[in-house]
Amino acid sequence: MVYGQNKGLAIFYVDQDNGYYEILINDTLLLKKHKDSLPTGSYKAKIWSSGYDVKEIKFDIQTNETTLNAITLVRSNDYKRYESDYKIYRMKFHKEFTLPITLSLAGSLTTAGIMLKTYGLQKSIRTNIEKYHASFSISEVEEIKADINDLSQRYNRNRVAYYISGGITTVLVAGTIYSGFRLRKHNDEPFFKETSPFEDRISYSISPFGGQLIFKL
Amino acid sequence: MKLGSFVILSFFLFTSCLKKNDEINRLNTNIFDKDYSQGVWFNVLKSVKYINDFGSPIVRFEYEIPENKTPSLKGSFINVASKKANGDWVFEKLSIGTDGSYDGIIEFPAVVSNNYCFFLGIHNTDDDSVINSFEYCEEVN
Repeated sequence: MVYGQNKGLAIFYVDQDNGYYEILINDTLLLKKHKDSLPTGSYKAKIWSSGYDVKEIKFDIQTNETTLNAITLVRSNDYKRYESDYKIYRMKFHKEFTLPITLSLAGSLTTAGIMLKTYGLQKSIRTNIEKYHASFSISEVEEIKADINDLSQRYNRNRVAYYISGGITTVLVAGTIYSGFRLRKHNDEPFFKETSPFEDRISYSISPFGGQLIFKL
Repeated sequence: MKLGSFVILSFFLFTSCLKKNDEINRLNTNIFDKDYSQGVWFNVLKSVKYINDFGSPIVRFEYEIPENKTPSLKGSFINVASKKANGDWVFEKLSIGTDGSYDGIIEFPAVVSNNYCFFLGIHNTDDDSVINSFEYCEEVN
């Protein structure tokens, strides 16, 4: 960088976490970048970023020198309130939606598993019944009937398990739907938006694609 | 919402497919089943009295085990047991006919009363026992 006469470089290291900040110098010049060359002299700067309180600093610019300004912004009360509200909202969301939907999913998978097992048993029973009607052997008929009896007992146990599991899952799914509706109806997701306190000021910015000077009237 | 409705509808749909299997309680139709309870499984087709080559009067019963009374997978023969009243079991293999039925014959020396009875059952070759035997009586003149 080539410094002009009676100018120095001001660099701002702003410690915040959203990557965007604005610097208002002497209540007139709005910077949206982290360094700029300024005429020699003393300056007052206000630094703002969304979710943070405006911080004021003073710095001097010496001719052909670089001035480093490290600024740590402090979270605003509005943002802290938003964070708190959002945390409460997420807790509610987990309690009234995520948890029921997880239980519903677990119930559905369990019921589906029992159902598949029960269908398998039903199919085995039908196969054995066909074998019974086809058999020409007294001992074989006895074996088939014993198998059918065993399969039938297991089938009936699985049927009962399927009805219980399915009933519980139905209640859980209905509860999840109701809970989701209630959550949506009574709770809006907190949203944080803050307008810049410097939005009515002149600003300029330079990028690799050109520069712009903005006057807010 | 849509997924939830789908899950609930699926449950009721599949519930209707998992009915109680009542057919299990009706497993008594195979003549090789000791619990067989469908009544007489053979038909007497013909009964005649004749004189044999030794000059003795004989009564002859021709019977069949119809195709619909036998298991669906047809065997080439059926082991049956027959006996006259107060007689011993006689074991026999009946071959399958072209119509799927099994035909057999029972003969008696003729008696004065003209009343003849016999038992026919299924022969259990494993232990030589007889199951599902039924009595048939007829007056043959």
